[in-house]
Amino acid sequence: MRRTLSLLNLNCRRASRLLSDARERPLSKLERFGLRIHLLGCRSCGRYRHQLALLDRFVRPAGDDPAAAPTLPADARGRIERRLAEAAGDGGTTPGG
Amino acid sequence: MPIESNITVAEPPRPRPVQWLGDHGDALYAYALRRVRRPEVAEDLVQETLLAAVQASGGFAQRANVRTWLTGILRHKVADHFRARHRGVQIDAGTLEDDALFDKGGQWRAGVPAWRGDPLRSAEAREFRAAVDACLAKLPATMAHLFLSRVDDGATTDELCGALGITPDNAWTMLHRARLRLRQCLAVNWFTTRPTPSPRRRT
Repeated sequence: MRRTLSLLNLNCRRASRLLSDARERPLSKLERFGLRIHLLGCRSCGRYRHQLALLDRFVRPAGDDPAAAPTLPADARGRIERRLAEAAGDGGTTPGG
Repeated sequence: MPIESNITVAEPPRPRPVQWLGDHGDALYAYALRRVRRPEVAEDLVQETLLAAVQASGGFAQRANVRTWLTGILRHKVADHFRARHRGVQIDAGTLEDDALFDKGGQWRAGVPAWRGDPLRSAEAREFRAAVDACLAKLPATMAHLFLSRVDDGATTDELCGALGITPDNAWTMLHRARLRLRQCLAVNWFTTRPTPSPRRRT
């Protein structure tokens, strides 16, 4: 009962949690109802919801801008190349050795 | 009429690890570095990934996209890295500092001002990406990894929990904290300090 009441009278702290959870799991009917009521009266949480969607887009790496991405340092590249050559030499398809 | 024998017979595609390194090394490194943050760890993970790929290259012939295949292996290596880090250790979901965003009654202390414009399509897109990365870097490493796994890799709750050995509620709490902090960080470090050009701004 207490839980029910608190869901019908959400504050922003709880609403922000539900807005995040809504991206992870289906909300219960009561949660959806409480959230809708809160959003009717709270423009900040409405903007928060919108900004959560934007965050998803913002953190995806720039596939179209390879120049902005870090590159494998040359010394590491050389080291890995040697290890790969070794592995291909001893562990490969040819039996024996 | 004799046929010249220098026509090469088509062989099944052979794994070319060194070529993988050349073609995909940078992309794998960028992915790993964003997750684990330390260059030397990222380098090791790239090496382990390519070595594992050599071992597994029997299955390679069916793979249409080498980049996707290698990234999938790397993703598992990164997950192993975080699982090993947290074996038997409680993961800090972050609490106190996020509460500072709300007042005693649970209202936003500073409200949630609108974000105007689309920074990814502006001339400052590159700087904006750097700002996003800087905000990600301020999160605890596991929290950032969880958020990126969710958003960038599209991992499900089950996958997140299985990979880190945490409960769904724990995972959702951390995702919520990550979102609160990222939003706050971008609000402070980008959207309030760099108003996108817009004709009318109230002062």
